[in-house]
Amino acid sequence: MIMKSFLLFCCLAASVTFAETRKPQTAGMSSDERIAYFETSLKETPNDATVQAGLASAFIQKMRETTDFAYLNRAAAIVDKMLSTDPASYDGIRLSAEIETHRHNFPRSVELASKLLERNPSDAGALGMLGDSLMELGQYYDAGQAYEQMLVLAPNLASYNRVAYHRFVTGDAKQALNWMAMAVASGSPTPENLAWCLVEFGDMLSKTGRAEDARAAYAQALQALPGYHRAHAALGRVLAAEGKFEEASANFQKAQAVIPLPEYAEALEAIYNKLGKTAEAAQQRGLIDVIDKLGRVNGEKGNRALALVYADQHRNLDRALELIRGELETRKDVYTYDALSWVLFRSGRQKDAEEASRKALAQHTPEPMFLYHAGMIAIAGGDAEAGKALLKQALDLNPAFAYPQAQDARSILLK
Amino acid sequence: MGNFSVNHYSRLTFRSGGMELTYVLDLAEIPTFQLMGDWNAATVNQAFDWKDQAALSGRSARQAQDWLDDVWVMQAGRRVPLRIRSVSPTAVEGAGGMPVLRTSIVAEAKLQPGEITYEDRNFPGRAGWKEIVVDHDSSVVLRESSQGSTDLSNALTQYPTDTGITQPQDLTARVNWSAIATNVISQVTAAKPEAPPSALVKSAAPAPFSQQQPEAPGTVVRGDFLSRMLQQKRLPAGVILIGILVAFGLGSLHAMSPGHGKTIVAAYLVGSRGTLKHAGLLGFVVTFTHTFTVFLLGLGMLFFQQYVVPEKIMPFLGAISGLSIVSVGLMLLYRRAKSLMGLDHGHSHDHPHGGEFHTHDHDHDHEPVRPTRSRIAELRGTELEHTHGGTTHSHVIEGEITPGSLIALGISGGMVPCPSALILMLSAIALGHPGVGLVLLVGFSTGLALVLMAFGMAAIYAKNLLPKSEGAMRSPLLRMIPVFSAVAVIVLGLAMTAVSAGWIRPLRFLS
Repeated sequence: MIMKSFLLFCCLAASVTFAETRKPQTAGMSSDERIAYFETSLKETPNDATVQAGLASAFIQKMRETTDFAYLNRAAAIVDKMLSTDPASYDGIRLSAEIETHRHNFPRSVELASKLLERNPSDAGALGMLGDSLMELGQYYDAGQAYEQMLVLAPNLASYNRVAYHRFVTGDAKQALNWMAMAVASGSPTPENLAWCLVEFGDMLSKTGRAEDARAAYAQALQALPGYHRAHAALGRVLAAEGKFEEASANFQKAQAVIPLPEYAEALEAIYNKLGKTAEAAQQRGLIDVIDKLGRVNGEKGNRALALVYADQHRNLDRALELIRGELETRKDVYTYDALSWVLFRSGRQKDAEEASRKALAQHTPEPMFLYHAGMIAIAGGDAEAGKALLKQALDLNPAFAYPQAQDARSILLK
Repeated sequence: MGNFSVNHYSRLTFRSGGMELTYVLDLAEIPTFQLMGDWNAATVNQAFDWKDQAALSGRSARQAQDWLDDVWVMQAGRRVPLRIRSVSPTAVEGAGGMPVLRTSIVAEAKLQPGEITYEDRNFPGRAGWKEIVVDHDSSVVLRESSQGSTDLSNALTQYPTDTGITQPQDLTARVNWSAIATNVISQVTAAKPEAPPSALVKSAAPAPFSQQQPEAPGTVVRGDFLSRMLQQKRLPAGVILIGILVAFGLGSLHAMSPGHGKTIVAAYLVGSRGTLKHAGLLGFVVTFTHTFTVFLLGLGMLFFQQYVVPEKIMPFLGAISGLSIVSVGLMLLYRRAKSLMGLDHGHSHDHPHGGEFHTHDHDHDHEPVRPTRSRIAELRGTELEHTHGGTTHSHVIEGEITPGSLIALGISGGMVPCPSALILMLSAIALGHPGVGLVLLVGFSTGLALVLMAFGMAAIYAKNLLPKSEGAMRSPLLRMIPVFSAVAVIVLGLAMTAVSAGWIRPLRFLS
């Protein structure tokens, strides 16, 4: 009898799956197909808030996959419409919070998620969003609380990977790996979500010196979502750190073919220089400038990744400072402080750099790059012993943590 | 669209002798920068100036060939070459004074009438507008096409501003085309016809374009029955495989659920000193009687679908199947509620019964009882003393075990289909996937059969392995489970009916 109930449950689950795939447009449930499905439904019932929410949600997922913000704007247009019809719309506020998170407007996202939780304290999704924004604002204790509540309400990939990230940032690599393994094991019907977790898992493994396992996680991510740019870039980073530059460049090229992020161009420039391909390297540098130029045209205020690229490359440091300060307005986590410390250091503002560096290390995050930056800053500030200890810590975590920083750290320690 | 998007547009125009392709790529600032950077890197003498139209045309002509190398037109397993007729590049100023490049390429491919596939492999994974338009002139008819003739972006010159229109994401197309009249007849006589010419000409007469044009009744070639069945489900092989494994697992678990025929199979084999072969055969026969009619139902449905337009009949079939599930549920509920009341006298069965023998009030209690009761009692304690209200009679042909007697034993349980399997199949039919239902049913039956066989064998070799059931149903809550599951069947059936009738859209609840 119990088995029969189980079978029925499975039938029901299967019925939902099959029902979705009944229309060819929604077969396989990719984001594109979800978009098409909801658009068709929306034509039939233009004012159906549930369908509107479904479509906005599909657009947000598509944006996650492509990093094309045009999709986010489309989602925002739908949500605006939903909220103008019904300002108290729960779905509308929920989607708004999600959109603000993607726009890096974390204080606003916290506000909206809190509003949702006032109305429904057991909304796991809202707790997740609240925690995400608190993480970005550097409020780690509160973020941890939100995630733990979420974990109780919804023990699944979504909560496991968040708890893992929280544990990692707050210095508990072992717990982080355990939780991330749980996230990966519990899987997701959306391949991008699983692939995202696998890349995060791989990154955590790689940062704590398990390059082999990290590579396996990246390979799995590529299986889950072929061509996934984050997985190719992550593989590229590990391969470059191991000195396999040809393979690394092939992976970064694949990542860049999907989305030209400044950090990919930076990595490719360094790799091409190493391989003696100076023309290609110059083109990558040109691409970084183009990305910046278009960012300015689009009114971009902050860009942590680009600021770090400029600091790494010892150039455009005023712009780098502008970009990182813009980011700091709405994002005050350890990663932003690390980037700030590096930009300040390269700009010759030693004291400010040291202060930012302290903030970056405050959570004891097992990030070799934090330790490398802090070590370099300490050495420049005259405390060679502390600086070298930090560099050694970075190399202890992973002897090949990044190219070319790991080699750099090693040569300084040998001096 | 973002500054890094690449927009694709393909217009496939079928006409006598082949296809004309208008292929347009519209590159935003970043990909244009990257492309022109590549051009520069290849230019030794001077930097490329995008405002120099002659230079642009020169580079574009070479570039067009590279791009078309990644556009695949396939027919009958072979790649058909595309011959470029013209290339028209246009570079204009975009954001930040940076150029954006739109290149329109016209090419042609010589094709035989029939099915072709088209695939644009340029810029895989890059975000952008990806549109394919399929059209034809009056000398040709499209029998089937994955895309329509509506041009949303006017070849990437005007992107709709209506927020209701999303970027299409098509990079592949499948088209089945035929030439009209004389061409068709010569083609038919020369080689294998795609379909009877009369049907073609008939459908071609007004030459309307329609997507997924359904076959006229009777035009289906039996040979592609299986391919249609597979195509119909549109589910990836991995999902099907997992489905089969899950169904297999469920079948196995189901066989182990209390009150199943395993007890009887085992008892019979032990009582009759059966061999492994007998255990195998009996497992098979019991499974066969359980699922045979369900298989028939699924096969019948699949066959029936070949002769009607599935989209038209599916809602009705779905509703009928849904209502059938409801009636199975009602029947189960009635019997279980009844048996629940009848159980108050305190018998400890592993499955509830009505007072009457042979009412099939449980999904698997229709196996006959072997009269070797003393041996059975040895194995199962006192259970059988009470199983059928004190009334026993035999369906077993006495004497030596022969294949015939085993089959008779299996069949004597009746040809009543296993409700679980029936619900599985009806659900699949309701959802328009009888093929998938059949495949899952194979998995389910295999699991069921294997476990039954295993129990038979275990009974022969290790008598004490048989599960004891005493006490399992003492808890009132546990006794209610069958009733709940019957209610769940009814709810499932109602949901299925509502989905088929279009009252419920399951996706709305998912997002």
